Amino acid sequence: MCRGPHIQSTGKARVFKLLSVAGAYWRGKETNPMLQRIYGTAFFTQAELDKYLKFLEEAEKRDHRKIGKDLDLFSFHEEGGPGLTFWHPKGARIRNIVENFWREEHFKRGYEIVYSPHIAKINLWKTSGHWNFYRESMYSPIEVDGQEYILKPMNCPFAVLMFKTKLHSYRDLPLRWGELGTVYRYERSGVLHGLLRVRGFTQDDAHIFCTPDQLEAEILGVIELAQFMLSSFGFNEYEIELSVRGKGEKEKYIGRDEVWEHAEDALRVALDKKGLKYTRMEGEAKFYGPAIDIKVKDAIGRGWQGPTIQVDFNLPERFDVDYVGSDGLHHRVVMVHRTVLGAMERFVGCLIEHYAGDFPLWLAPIQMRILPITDAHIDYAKKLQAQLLARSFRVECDTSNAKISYKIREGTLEKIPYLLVVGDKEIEGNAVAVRSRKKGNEGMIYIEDFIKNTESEIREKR
Amino acid sequence: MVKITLPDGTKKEYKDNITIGEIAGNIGSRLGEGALAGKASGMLVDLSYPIKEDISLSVITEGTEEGLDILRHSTAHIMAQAVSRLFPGVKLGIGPTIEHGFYYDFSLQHSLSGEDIKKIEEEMAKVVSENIVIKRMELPRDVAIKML
Repeated sequence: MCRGPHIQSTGKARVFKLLSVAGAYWRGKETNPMLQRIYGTAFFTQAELDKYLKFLEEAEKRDHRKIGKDLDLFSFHEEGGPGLTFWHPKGARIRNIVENFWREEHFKRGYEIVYSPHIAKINLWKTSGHWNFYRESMYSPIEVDGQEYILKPMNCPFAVLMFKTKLHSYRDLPLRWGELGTVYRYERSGVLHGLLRVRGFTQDDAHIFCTPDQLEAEILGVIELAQFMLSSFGFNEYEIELSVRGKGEKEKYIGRDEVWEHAEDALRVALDKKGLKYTRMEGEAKFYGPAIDIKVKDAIGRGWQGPTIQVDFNLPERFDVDYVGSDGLHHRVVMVHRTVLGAMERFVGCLIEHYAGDFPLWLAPIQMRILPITDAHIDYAKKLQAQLLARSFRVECDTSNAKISYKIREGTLEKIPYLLVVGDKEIEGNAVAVRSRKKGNEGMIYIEDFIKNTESEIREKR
Repeated sequence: MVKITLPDGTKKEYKDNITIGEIAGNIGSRLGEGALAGKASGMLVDLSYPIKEDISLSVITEGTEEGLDILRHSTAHIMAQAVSRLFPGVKLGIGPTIEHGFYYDFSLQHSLSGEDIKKIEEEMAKVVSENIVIKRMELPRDVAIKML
């Protein structure tokens, strides 16, 4: 039975392709019988179909799960459980570089860093409203001394408790507290997908506490920070959505109308001031406030959920959080939640696919590998390695017995940006024979020159 | 007589029960050829849909987003037809369009292989070449259930 509409006759559907088969559950419920789902596509012209199939091919080459395995970046284990990521040294290095960069840029902009617990008594989640509105995403309580605790699905209530430790004056505001907080959310095992949809993840979270007057400037500041961070990673194209309440669905959301309207206005005005184009999405707002969501476009044009800026007038209400104004009276504080990258897991997964594993030098877990041609050159190679390590490069040395052609092949498969071949000529000339992924065989370069060039490449994030 | 208002504001009058396809052909031969479906007062309908009252109409042609969605939906049904021919007794689930295409769910004992997919594609090509007309039937609920 189908409502249609349909094409007039089957003859019009000439250009199609069946893509894959997957198992699926009737009505998406895992307790229902299993069905077989055939995926396909259709276009009006063969040219469009060919273009799409090429795009799929390219996307498959970039699949972060495949690259993650090939480059030994991360893994998942049956014994650990689905959706729980194990970051191997090289993957962890990339994540570490991202986190360090994140921290530096936040400190520069007047943020502080905090750390909060991973679990909290169930009452905290009842006060915050999560126990009501977010229950399906939260894991079962953990019992400690007859008291129930829950693994945090969000960091916000902790930031609020810390803020409330003392009564703040308007002079203290705005306070910007960042936290690379690890949260746990339940997702059905059928929807888990590599690093992109996991059950535990670390958000590049931050909470801003400010006065109503400061709100617009704070949102502008976050938008600018988000744009800076994204372009540093090579993302310059994005789509912006302003998520607001759905009409006629008021029971889904907590908070008064005026409070919602003020929040939605503040976000909208900030976007207009930056001259940014956006789409208004009715019904997409979270239960506690409206948001700006930025989807970044990767190297092959796919959209990825990135920065989020969320105004929250409700946690301050539920936790009764005030500040003392210039009039000496208590006023309700305004709270903004934001991420500029999203979550480490999803962001690194996105980086892997965006770069197809060919990371720019500043991100590459191993930046260079020295390849001595024979055992006679190992001594020199090791001295060179020490020299480069002292300049903070991530450098390895291939002292294995293999032929130089094999060493080069291995280094290429591992997508190492610079392979530095050393033999008699190089030792004599105090140089290295450079093979770069981007420029190919660059020939002999003096060590000091090589160091200077790569240091600027890293500094400029090229 | 029914009054049709086009997207640019022009109004045209036709006899009752004229179809969307006939209107498109009347407006222009190119529009008639490229027409896939219509949007009658905001509702998506087939070309064979008869107009019984005054409506606003925009014709959905090939090369548009909406046209593509309709094409894919129809293709999904063609796939279901092909699967039903090759595997008699198969139970059909739903077959919606998605971002870059469509899918269809099947309840089948036999586990589908890569070879089966190729065979289904070939059968689909047959269905396409047979150029079967897709007719709209409006049935009362109980009759429809009996038919299935």
